[in-house]
Amino acid sequence: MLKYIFKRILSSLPLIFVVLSLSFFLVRAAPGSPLDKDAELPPEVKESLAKQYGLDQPLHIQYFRFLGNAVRGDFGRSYIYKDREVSEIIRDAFPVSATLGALSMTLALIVGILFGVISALRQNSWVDHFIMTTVLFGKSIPPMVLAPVFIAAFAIALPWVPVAGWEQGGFKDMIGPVLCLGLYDVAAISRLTRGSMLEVIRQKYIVTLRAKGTSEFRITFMHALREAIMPLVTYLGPTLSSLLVGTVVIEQVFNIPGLGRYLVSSALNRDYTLFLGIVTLASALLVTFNMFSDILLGLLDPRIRLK
Amino acid sequence: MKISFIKVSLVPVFLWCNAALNIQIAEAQTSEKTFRIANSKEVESLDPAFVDGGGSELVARGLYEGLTTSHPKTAEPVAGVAKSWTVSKDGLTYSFQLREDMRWSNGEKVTSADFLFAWKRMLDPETGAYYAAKFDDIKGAKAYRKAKAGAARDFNAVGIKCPDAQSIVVTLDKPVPYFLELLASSAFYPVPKSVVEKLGKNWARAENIVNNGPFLLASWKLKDRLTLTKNPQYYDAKNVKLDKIVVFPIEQDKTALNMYNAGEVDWIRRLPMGSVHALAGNRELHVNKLLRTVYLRLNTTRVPLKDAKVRRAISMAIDRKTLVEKVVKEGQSPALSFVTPGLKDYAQNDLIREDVLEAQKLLAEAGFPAGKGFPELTILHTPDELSKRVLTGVSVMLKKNLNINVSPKGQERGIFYDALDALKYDIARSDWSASFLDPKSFVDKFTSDNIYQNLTGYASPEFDELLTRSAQAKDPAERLALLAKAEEKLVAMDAPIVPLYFDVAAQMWKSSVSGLHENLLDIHPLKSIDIDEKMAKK
Repeated sequence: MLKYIFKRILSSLPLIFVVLSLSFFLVRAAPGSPLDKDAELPPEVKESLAKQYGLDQPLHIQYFRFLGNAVRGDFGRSYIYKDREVSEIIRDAFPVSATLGALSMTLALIVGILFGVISALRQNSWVDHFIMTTVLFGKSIPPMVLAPVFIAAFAIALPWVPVAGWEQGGFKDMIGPVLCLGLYDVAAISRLTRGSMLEVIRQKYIVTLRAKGTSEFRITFMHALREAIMPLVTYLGPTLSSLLVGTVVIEQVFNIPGLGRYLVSSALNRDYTLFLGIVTLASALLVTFNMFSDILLGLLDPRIRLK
Repeated sequence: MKISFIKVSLVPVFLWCNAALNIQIAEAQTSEKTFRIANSKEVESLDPAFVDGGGSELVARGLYEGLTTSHPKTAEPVAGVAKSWTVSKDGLTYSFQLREDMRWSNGEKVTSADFLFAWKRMLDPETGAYYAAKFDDIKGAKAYRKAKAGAARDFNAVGIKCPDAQSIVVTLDKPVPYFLELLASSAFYPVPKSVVEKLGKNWARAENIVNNGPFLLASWKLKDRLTLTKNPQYYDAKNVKLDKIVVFPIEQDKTALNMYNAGEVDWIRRLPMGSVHALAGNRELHVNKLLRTVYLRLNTTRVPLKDAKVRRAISMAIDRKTLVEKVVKEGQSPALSFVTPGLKDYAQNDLIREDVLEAQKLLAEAGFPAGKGFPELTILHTPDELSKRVLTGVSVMLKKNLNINVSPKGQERGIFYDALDALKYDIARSDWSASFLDPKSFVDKFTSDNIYQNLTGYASPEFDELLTRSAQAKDPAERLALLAKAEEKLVAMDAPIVPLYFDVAAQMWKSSVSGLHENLLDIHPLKSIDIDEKMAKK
């Protein structure tokens, strides 16, 4: 196992290198610069700031400097938030996005798997049709629509939760964003679960278990679901990694200080250092979660060998 | 059995929902006065050298105080760190006497050395201070800040002197009627010499910052909230009513309005588009007239906009009244000049005559009778919804009145600014907010040597001459008359710019708030704000 993990980490390094290099050159190729302010700056001020940022150096020197610093996890200072290090901004914002992502994914998994299992066990009944229609309806309402409706209903009409904000540990603050984000993934998870459950419960070993008098609960959760969950594990890797690095719409609507807002603002303001710092984290997470989902698949199904 | 496992599986979901509905966050029962602001943009830096934009300026005004500060009603300069001053007869020398009871938040005394240090730092090209050009009226300041790297610079040649710890003498190049106003802006704030020298570029971080204003920075969590608390060392602390101010950076205007409606903020500084119309009659709505003009830049280096007749035809063919009443609809007024109305002693008539027949005649004289042969042009703008709507209205008017095709094109901010800098555009939507109560703040953007602000390719020796003469004029009335002539030349005769409307700031604050006033510069000193907590709780 350790050998496999080591191999995967080694093989992912070139991928991260390519992502970082492409991101560096793409963001630098984009028109505009971090020195574009709403009120135009005089040329001599721009010149001085460019020198401070190292933007006066040839591009290849800036590139190698960026790579060298990235290896050490040092992305320098943000060009926009001049008093802050990029690593410090990420250190503050990542836990917020990660909490929101993890909670919403937990909610999506609980509800999605439950709905998927119930639908499969009651295939073609009114329960199945009701659940599948409901989740399809939920999937067709994106968070950017659901969130304002949620706020209008539960923060303004019935003031149960705050409109926006994210106080550390404020449970009420989390309800809206977690629900709006989590419910969107319920559809995909429940449909995946239902499909694979339908395949599994028709297999001969399930019939054998029933004949041997194993309880229905045990058959469903200990045997059938264990196999039916496999496609979900593959789905979870990239979904979770993208959720953890922030979701722009939900973070903006609920005014949450997560990475998603920084990613967009840094790209729009050409805050090169902050943008590249977040991209690096996102690509590292994507590679890591894909690796974890492969390992998990091997653990769940011994027929899959980790090579 | 089947029902029971469903029940079992529902347990965590039930618990989660139950907890969500039942948990009550205990609210601290304190008697402190807290004021909450929805700022539309996050503060980028609290170092006076890098304070940028209205939202940052608002917070900086709470943290620092310059030699002068702004009156909350009129935005005119009043005494700040300087308790008094004298101006020489020729209007060139200002002598300031500093308060003796002004202290930094670390307890040290604020002295003239702090101002000297801060201003020298602003002018040092290596600092890269955003608004160092505001010092250009001070003798020798422009030459000092523009000196090439490595070139010898002598700060003694700059007209800033400190005869003693409580006095500052500033010598100007020419009389500047708005100089005291400039001193109230963030570029002129003092910085604590000993702290900046010790901590370098880390001095303005939340945990290090030392300031001299009515409030202290208690905490600053980026993109979440910034909290200020009353500064007990501030010389006028007894007149500072608020104990705490919380500033939320909220990019989504709708979120800000929702928070306001739910009672989570007391003041929203920007309303969502279209909401002013819907909120008409609400006594908490304040539509504040500003010194801000929304206008079109015409690229005078490109055919056919090279021809002043074409530019004037475009300006005359736009029905601005319809534009503000039917399209913008938020209390703006039609702009028939570039300088906004309301400036003291500056009486400017309507400079643009909206006359479709005359516009058609001018276009025909320029070689495009009834718009024939006129190339298709684009109006570049940043991709906001209001600009798109306004420019669509403009293009419809130009098609109807002149039979020319001008289409709006939204471009991402970086692309927009690059196109402007390189003069790679036909027409561009722009706006300008004056930073002081004087027409010069508008007009001098378009001199031929002001390359970084002009951005139209417009170069008129006659216009430049009028501005030079106005700067040298000793008589204030003559100075304003020359500026008015320059504006007329710019807007009515040469028309490299086409003013569209005078903008407003639509804001809301609770009835329980006092000390907030509408003023032309949208300047609101935090120290004068008060909130009636009992009324707010109702």
